[in-house]
Amino acid sequence: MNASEFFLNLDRRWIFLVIGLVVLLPIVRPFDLPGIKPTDQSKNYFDTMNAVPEGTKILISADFDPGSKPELYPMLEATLRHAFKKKLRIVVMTLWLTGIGMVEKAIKDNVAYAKDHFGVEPQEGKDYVFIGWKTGGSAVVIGMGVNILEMFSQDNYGKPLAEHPIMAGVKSLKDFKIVVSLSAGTPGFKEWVQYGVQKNNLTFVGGCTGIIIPEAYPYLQAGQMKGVLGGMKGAAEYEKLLNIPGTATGGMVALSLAQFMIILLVAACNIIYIASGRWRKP
Amino acid sequence: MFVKRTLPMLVAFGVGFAFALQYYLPFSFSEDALSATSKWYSIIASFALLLGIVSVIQSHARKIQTQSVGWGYSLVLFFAFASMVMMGAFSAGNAETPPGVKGPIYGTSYGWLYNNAMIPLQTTMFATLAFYVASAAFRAFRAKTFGAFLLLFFAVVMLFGKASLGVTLWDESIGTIHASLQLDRIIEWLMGTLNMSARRAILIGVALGMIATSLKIIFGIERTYLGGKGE
Amino acid sequence: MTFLEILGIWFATAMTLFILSFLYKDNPFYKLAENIFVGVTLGYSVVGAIWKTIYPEWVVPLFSSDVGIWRKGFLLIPGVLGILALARIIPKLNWLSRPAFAFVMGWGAGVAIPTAVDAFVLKHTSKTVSAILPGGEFTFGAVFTAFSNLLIVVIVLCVLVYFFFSIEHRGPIRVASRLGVLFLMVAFGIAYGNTVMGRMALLYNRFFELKQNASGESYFATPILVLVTVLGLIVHEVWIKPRPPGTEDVQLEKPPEGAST
Repeated sequence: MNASEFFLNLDRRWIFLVIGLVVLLPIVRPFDLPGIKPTDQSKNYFDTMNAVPEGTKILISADFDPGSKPELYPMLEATLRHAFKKKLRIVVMTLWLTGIGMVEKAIKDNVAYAKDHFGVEPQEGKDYVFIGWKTGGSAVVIGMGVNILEMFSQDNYGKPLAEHPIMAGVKSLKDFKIVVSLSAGTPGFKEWVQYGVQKNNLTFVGGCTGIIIPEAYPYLQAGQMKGVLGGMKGAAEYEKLLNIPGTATGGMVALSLAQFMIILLVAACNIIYIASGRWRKP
Repeated sequence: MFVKRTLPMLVAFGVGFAFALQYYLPFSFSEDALSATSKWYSIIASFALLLGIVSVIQSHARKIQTQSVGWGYSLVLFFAFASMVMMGAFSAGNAETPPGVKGPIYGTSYGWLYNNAMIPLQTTMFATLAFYVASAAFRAFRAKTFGAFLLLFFAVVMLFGKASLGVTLWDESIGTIHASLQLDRIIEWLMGTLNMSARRAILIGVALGMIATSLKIIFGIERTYLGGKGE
Repeated sequence: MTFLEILGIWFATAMTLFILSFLYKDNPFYKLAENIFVGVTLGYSVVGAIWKTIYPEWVVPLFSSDVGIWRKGFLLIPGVLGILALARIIPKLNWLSRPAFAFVMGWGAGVAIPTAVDAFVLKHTSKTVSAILPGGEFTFGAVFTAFSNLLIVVIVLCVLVYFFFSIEHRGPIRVASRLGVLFLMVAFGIAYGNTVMGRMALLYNRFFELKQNASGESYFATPILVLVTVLGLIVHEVWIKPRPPGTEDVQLEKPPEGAST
């Protein structure tokens, strides 16, 4: 067996080991890489959230599960911190059953963060409320487009939603100045656009995982989304724009190294493939 | 036959036609009907969710009953399932203690299982895909055709452009020639023009397919959701 | 930290390492973790379906004295349909579930049609044809924008032609279709670049948590459990895994010379 054959048939577990070490290195021995440069779409997301005055009601839909937590949870935390800092009034929900626990924790932790860092004391029911999850995905979006209290008669903890002062004057999605969807798939921003944004003419911004960020661009160009955060990099850009440190920024070094390793692997594969002469054979 | 087959198809037709028309009738009675049926959908879907779970439990129960290969793992599954349901019932489905209620820092017992079992397990399951992505990059991504070459070329460009190190290297070399040659501008153009157009075409195609399938369901051409064996 | 917090850290670390052990080979640790994952997910789904939708939105109002009789009647219908949907698991009573599924499918299909037409087909078709001729000052930027807009129209048309299978792809249609394939390859390459970033972010997060759980505060959970997992795999490979005669591990044969992979 010659060298090219050896490499082309290499046991994949060696590649697993290499990629594992590349991602582990900056964790074990942290070092800095050149800074993060926010993209236009991250700036649009930030500007949309920043443009609204104090007391504005916004809806945040955290449509993700633990499988997408590393990318979308930092976005959720940064969005909550931004909203608390600006003293916006937030209604939080999720379209994903397995995301409920994460959203509960994010709200609890960031209410405490806001008290410690911004000198604000968000009150549950007055400044924020978590209305939870209902089965149905797109049916929930459709129902909320007409009557939120019909769809969510109680908040996540069983208290009648109508009793919360934040819900005064809120009948449907049209009563929110901004709707945010942080989505990992279906149901997510596509369902929000199809069933919510178009019919109710909403101001809509989104965050999504790196895998589905290419799918968001048609909606951006069509004006159905005003801005989008893409993956952990998008979350890191938003943290930089907010000037509030978060968990996404720390991961960028490892991401950069891993991406360079993938480029090397792709290049090596093709160089060895060409060198082996296999590309000539039909 | 009418009750078993024709009635459900009439229900699908009636409901489908009515709510396709509802979009163009923005009056209060039609909006109220939409809101009401959204809630019905949500409640029925909850029972359908339970149905799916019952099927999985049944298959594992059969495995334990017949003591087929791996039945011990099915016992583990049942134990995990039962623990989660019991803790969930005890905590009323809340992972954290409700606001204003004093509780332990780790939340409820249900939250303990959620944070220490479900989150690590699901996150790690998806994280292992990173290894397979790397393995595929080395073993399978060969530019055998022009199309494959294009795919690889733009993949490498995106990988370079999404790494902060790559952006800095480019901007401090080629990016100094003109502001429009900065890597983030190029990436934004690639995403907003080349990627966006292809995705838009896929989106329009999928939407047309969605419309066609929905019409088939409403008119009873597509009947697989009825189940059964042609009764 | 309390005992339960430390126990939680140890359990989470163990589950993470057991799943990662699959990268070496399928093994009992992985199977154990996988079945625990399926069990807790099923349990979580049951709790969510009942305590977040069925109980607050159906059971509570149905038995509440504040809710009127008409409202209760209105709520009875989806509950009855939902319970009938459960009849699907009994083959002889499968037909009882059909009205429920017919309602769900019909309603979903009905609401999808006008929204797909409005939000996707019409909106995106109209936005595709932006101004191609540059307005205002004749600058390089304006010309490039016009070129980009023209390129968008060409790419959308070519990709749509590729997916149109009702006519034979010959002549100009074939050219457009082939171009469509190439533009799709560009889009998939871009998607791959983003996918890598997404997956690596997940891996980074797991490794970061493993590192956090290696501290003295967590009683060195990570190194101890790594050792336990590795030793367990060795014991499984060398001693426990049965090797009936004539059933050695199957080795994948190398592909013959010249065969395509």
